[in-house]
Amino acid sequence: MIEATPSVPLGARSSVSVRDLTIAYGDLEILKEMNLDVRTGEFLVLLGPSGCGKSTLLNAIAGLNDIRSGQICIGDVDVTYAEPSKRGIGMVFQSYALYPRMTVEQNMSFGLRMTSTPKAEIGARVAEAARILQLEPLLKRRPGELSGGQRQRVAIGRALVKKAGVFLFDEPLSNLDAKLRSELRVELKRLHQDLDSTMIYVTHDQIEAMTLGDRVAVMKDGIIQQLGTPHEIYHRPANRFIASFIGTPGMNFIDGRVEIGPDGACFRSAAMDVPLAGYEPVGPLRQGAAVLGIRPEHLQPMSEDRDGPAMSVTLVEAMGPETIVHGRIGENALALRVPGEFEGGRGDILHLSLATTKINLFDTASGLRL
Amino acid sequence: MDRRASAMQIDRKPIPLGRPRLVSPGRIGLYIFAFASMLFFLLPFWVMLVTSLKPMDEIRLGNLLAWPDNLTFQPWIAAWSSACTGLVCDGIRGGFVNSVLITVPAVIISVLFGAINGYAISTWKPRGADLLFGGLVLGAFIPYQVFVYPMTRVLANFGLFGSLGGLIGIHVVFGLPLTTMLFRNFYAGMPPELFKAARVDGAGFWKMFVYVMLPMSMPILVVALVLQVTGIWNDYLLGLIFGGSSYAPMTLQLNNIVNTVEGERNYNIDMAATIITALVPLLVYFLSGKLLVRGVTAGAVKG
Amino acid sequence: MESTTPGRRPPSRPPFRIRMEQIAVVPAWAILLMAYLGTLMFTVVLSFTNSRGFPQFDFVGLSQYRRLMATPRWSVSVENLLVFGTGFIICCLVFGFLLAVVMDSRIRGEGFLRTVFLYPHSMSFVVTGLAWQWMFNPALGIQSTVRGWGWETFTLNWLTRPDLAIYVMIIAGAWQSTGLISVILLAGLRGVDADIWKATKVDGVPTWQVYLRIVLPMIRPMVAVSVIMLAISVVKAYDLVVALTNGGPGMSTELPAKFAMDSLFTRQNIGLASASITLILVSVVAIVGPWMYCEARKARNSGGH
Repeated sequence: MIEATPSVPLGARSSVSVRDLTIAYGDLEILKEMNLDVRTGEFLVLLGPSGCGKSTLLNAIAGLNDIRSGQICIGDVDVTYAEPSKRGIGMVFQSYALYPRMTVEQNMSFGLRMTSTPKAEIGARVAEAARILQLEPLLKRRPGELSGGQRQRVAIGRALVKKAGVFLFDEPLSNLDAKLRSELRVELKRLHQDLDSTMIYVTHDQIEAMTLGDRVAVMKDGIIQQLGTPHEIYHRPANRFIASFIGTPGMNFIDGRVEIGPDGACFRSAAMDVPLAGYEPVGPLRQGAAVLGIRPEHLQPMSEDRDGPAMSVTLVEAMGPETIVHGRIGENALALRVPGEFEGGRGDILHLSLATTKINLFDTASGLRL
Repeated sequence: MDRRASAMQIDRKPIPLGRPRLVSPGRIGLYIFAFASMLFFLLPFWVMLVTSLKPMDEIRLGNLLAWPDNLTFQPWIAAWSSACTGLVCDGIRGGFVNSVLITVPAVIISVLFGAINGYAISTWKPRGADLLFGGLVLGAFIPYQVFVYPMTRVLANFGLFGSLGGLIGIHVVFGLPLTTMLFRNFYAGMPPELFKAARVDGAGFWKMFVYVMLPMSMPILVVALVLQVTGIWNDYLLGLIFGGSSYAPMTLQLNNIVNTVEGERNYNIDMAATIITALVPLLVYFLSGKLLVRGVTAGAVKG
Repeated sequence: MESTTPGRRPPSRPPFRIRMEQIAVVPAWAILLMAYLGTLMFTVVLSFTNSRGFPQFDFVGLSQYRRLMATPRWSVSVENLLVFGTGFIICCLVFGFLLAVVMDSRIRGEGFLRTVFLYPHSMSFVVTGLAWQWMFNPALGIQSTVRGWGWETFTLNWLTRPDLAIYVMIIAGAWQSTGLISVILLAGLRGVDADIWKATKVDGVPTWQVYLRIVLPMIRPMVAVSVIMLAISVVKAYDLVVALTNGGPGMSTELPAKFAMDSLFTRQNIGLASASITLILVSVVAIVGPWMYCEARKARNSGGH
């Protein structure tokens, strides 16, 4: 009994939806009942530390993993058990995965040749992709004769010629050096704007995630912790993990309590007291233990000594345009992002001011945003 | 200093810093040891060569190492075409033909087969692949003696005992673990993403093998060929048991010529026959150069 | 082709598919199960029968093993195996390691040396045996050559001496196999991080000390592989004996593998032969088993996802 496996028509931009997807090896669950909807034409970034399951999810969408349960749809076709080549996808890998014994041209056309596309059509599509990616002078070369950036462009071209409805990127820039990486990042962004295709992009690099993504899904332990625009992820992290994972250095945390007094809610701790009038809580605030989170740029030293909380400086990292100042208030280690002109050093006492509208509150026990 | 620094850039070159000054007692000792070892390894071949080029009278004088005074190629001709095994005096040429007839098909089949197995096991990981591979590796370690007797019964039942096809089949069976291991390790060393990319591109099992994997397999293919050619050519045991009277390989005939003679032994002919028998693997070894080295170490170290 | 609205339809079951990779390894499975496992079990079963010229299935328990133990030729073979094995393995390892060090010390003509060390390995054991038989020929070999140089009392008649013939086998075996061991160990030496050498240089450790105390422990896996390979070839040793001494003089170079072959095909005693082969098999498993177990565990520990 052989079912005809469904296949996704090529050339159409598609949405992707993942329903209750569980992937496990033996008892080890890599993904747990994952749900994710990627909109048509969206650039979605899967961001997380290594081992969080982001690549597994991408491979599952590509059909390269065995899945235990759940459903994956591309467009409106259920592709849960379809062959990778029947899913209307193009995929770009970290190691480029170019076929070493084929020329650039043969690399790009291989997928089309495998599906017996007419010769003329293949030629036209390869030429078009080569034009978009400026690979025309390199068509006859072998991958070994190309630079890393060129190889990755060929890998992108391989996905382009197939007119894939969904592009999957598995850490495509991680093997490149910093300068090339930022160049190709811009190129990818432009490509997305031109093609307007659906793109799913796996990375552990938050700068890539922030700059490229329309939306970012932050993953940890096989679970999507938060799905939102880069702005939301950065400014309204759903939990402490995201708050510390995003941003370099991560968010500062101060342990304390929320107290509801006659003149409104207030966060009290040994280090500082902060009125919570400007804070938009997820639900109604309750009295009890809480953690206050504040980004390094939202803590600033005050020019003249006033009665702000006093931090003693332990370390100063000058980075050129900005300087990171590390210090302590009592038990709490803090980092400040200050302009590069900052002059000061170890042992200095800084009085801090805090942007009260920029604070975050997390539950002490669960780590969830309050 | 500069030479050291540049030498360090070269991959897999000796570690320059461990080296003492160029002329030191240790250094001289090193060269003496190397030279002595070289003599030890070359001596038997030299002796074989000069013996095979001397007439028997000169051999009886008892100087093993000396270059022949009366150089003669007669022993070589005799070894090839008229040396006796028992009552038959056809030289070793029949064995040569047999060895070619056995080696060529057995090598081709076992290498191709090993390539397919290694590819299937390493990239597609069919259910039980680890068990299959582990079993084959274990099988490669077990002496032939364990398998041969039942195997003779099986071949006899199929009427293949003593036939060329049967002997080739036996070589394929016993060559399979090594070739599978070589290809499996080679393919396992490739980025798995290559395989994923090919699947996304729509290449199935055979298309991926033919268009993606095989074109990249040249290095390991040569290694496998070299190892199989020398291995099968040098086999004695399997030829002895399964070759019957009509398909005795060269090694077997050589041993018969040398060790089962009655009357006076013609050492010059014996040595000529020995060299002729060793010629094919030696040629393969010298032509393949580093590949054989890489092959034996890869097979050994990774196995 | 059916289309679904995402999320509405319950997940489909994986479709039945003929998996080509599964088919492709069927012949390999067949060979493993029949040609290897099947014949192996057949041999073990035969060792418990009293088969002589043909397999019979009269089970006689361990009596073939008892007979084997009482057979002088077998016990001599085992003793010879121990002498040969110890000498051969030690020779190959020590000599091979020295050669590896030589090749690793930026010696001139390293490639040439490697070719010279390794070429015997490409030849048949039969060739090796015959070559050394000739070298040790008492009438016309090295002995008469040295005497010809004026040392009239020089004797090198090992092949005719029951107590010494086995050492010729060790020499011949080492001549063939040392090159391979040196190349394996050399691969290990080349794998040692260059920074280790720099560190020892900075610390002023003498080179030979570095090899002995730092490098040798680091290349333990290669040494292990070498020992395994050598041990296996000792247990398998057959062609070399046949060509070099054919077991003689007397039984002084008989080895178990040869005993098994002779019992099988010359003396037509399949039950006894199978018992000896089963013991050979057990010894191989005892050598390889622990090593493979360690390797598998190492692979699992380093491999995980």
